[in-house]
Amino acid sequence: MARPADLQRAAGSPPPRVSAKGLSVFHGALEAVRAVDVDIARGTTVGLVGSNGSGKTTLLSALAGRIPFRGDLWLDGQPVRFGSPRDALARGICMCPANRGIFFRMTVRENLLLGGYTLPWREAAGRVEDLLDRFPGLRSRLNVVAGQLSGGERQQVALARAFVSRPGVVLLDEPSRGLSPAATAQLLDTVREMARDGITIIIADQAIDWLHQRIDRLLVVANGHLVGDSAVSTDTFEELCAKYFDLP
Amino acid sequence: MKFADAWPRRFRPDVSLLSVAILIAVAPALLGGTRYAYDMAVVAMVYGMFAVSWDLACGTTGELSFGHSFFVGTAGFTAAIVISRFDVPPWAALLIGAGAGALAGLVIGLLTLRHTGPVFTLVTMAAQLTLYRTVFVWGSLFGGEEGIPVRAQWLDEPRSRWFVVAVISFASVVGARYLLRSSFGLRLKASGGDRRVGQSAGVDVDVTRVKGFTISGFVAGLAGSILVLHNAIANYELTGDQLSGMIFLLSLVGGMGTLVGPWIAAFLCMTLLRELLYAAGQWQSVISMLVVFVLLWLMPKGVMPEIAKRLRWRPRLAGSRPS
Amino acid sequence: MSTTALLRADRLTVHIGPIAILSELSFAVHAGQVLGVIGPNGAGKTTAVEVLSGFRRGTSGDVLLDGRSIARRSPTQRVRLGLARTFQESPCIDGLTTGDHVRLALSAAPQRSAKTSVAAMLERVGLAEHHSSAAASLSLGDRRMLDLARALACFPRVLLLDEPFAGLNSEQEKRLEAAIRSHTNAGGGVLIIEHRLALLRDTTDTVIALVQGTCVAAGSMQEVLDDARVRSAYLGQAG
Repeated sequence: MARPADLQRAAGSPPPRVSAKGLSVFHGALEAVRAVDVDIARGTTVGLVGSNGSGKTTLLSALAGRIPFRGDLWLDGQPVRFGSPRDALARGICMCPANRGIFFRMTVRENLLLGGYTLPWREAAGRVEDLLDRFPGLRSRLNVVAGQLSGGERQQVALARAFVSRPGVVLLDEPSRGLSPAATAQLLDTVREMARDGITIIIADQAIDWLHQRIDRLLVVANGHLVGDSAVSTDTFEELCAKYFDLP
Repeated sequence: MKFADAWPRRFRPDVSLLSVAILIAVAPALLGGTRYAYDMAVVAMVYGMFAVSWDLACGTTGELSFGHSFFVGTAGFTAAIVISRFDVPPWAALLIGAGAGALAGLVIGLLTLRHTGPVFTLVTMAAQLTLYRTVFVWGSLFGGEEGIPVRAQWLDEPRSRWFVVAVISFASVVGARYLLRSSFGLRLKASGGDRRVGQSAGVDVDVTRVKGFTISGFVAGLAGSILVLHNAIANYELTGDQLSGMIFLLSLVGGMGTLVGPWIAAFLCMTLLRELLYAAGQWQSVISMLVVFVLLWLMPKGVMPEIAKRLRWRPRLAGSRPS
Repeated sequence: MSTTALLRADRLTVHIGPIAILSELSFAVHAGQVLGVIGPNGAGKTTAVEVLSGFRRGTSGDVLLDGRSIARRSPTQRVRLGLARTFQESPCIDGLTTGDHVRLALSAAPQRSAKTSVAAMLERVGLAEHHSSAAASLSLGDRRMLDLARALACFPRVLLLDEPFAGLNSEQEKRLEAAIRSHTNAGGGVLIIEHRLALLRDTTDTVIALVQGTCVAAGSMQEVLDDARVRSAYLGQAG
């Protein structure tokens, strides 16, 4: 059976930015993600929801090259296999993980520059400059050591850092955690702007209430399975969410 | 193991303690059964106590002391001085020496309260080096290069000396294990790592750390005093960096935090390895170091945790180990 | 409500050089009350908790527990006096199991904890099955619940919770709400810093809003959220 991506290409439209078939992730003997099939178009903002332990973080980590997976993955129609996060970054996939990975002893500027570690220094510096227009709150704190920032401010540094290498796909794991409503709204608006530039953004979070107003597509994960998809479901977001809350 | 269930948890006999007991029992015979063999076993059991004392303080908190010979030297020289100058009987001298070791532990504990990581290690090194130099500089008290000869009647029959030291050494392992499985042991482990966790649980991290070092100093001091009586001399080697370094490495090889691992590593090093390398003469230390490097390369966490993992065996290690 | 507050912050001020992180901050938590603290990132909320719990010394101001000043007490002493807190990052000790962390707190207050077991505490926060697992291997949500269990095992009179709902799934949220409720029903007080306003609304009676180190509004949740300064600084809404 032909891949939907192949059919699309045959029809003359561009292949999906991210395409997965039979994607599975094993933690030892435990199957944390089971045979996920999904196609995500360019410039889409996707919300990935599921309770803790549903596999959404594992799925994101696999896409970002942090853990090995089985199955097939295509980026822009090309099959890819990641050996490390560096491979993924080189292919244009960047993740902001739940534990943020901020270096407390480095300044905000240094942390941001590290986001572009695969790029030449000057290019990374230039991209950080451009990014500061989108994250104005960070401009005044560039030389502050990250350890002195509040938790929420560190969150913002981590999130901004994910965009420095100007990736094609950005994966955000629980970005709203620790952010005030104002900061969250700001983040989402920034994210929407990035999406308009063609970046595909996948946001995994539990707090659906703020998420569903600003995403194009909702994917629901439970027990490692993709159980709900607003692109193929006839349910509205609200109905899908209600279903999600009732799932075991 | 039903037999084990009959014992209260803290005293539950297990394979690792059994191994220690077996090693103690068979070593002299395996080494030839001569007077030399018994003497070698005594020294090995003393080194086992050194390793246990190190693991008590450092295996729990995670702070690496490179100055344990500060405890050994303080205790050993105290014992030697009270025997040679004040004619104190040997058993009393042992206790006084152990007490001096405890005091040395208290001092180090207080000195290093605010230090962690590399600074901690350096401060312990500094203390040890200071004592080392003092031994030479203050020749009238410490006997300078020759040290202080100790002439005392103490269990001169090799087998009885061996037996008494065996009991003390085994008791130190059992006692240390009991301590680490108690709530004090838990608090000691909480004094390493993120202080905030311990503090926010109501644990006085500082007091606990100092207590831990005092106890560690006591054990090392007792062992050091025994060594002085056994060798009939107290000299600069007791406070040297070679001793500190050995204790440190042997504990790492044995497995930090396991108590029994360091004891066995020290014991085997001072018996088996010494015997095997006897023929190597001058090359002994080089080959020993190579052995240590290889072991640590293959088993970075130490031999005992590696064995436990291979056998998929979960020994009740210091505190309650995660599964 | 008793007239003497269980916990009172009296003009807390924290300066780092010329920058004021907290500026004459005063508020009180009464027995049986849940006080919510909201504010934009960097407003000084966690700093306030640090000063209250003794992990940080304020430049000036006082902290009173049951009317008596505890500003000179160490964090450990404050725990023993009945003031427990959780941490935003939910730290744990490498090498200790989940059960160990709770046992640590229980053993520090033996007379109060005589009737409780580690298992019972873990059951309350839903971590019973992780009793012997390494605490460092727990997921973030589970570590947060462990932090809560550790604080509860101190049998405190006042609980200081720093963003406790962040990273929890719905079952854990319910357990946390139940724990807060039973704590206040027993006469304890709770201070809770939170961003998840919907959850906060269900748990608190009174809310204060911190902006740049000072309290700009106090009252019920609705009153505070209606305040103009709060709306612009915290909710990001104009006017």
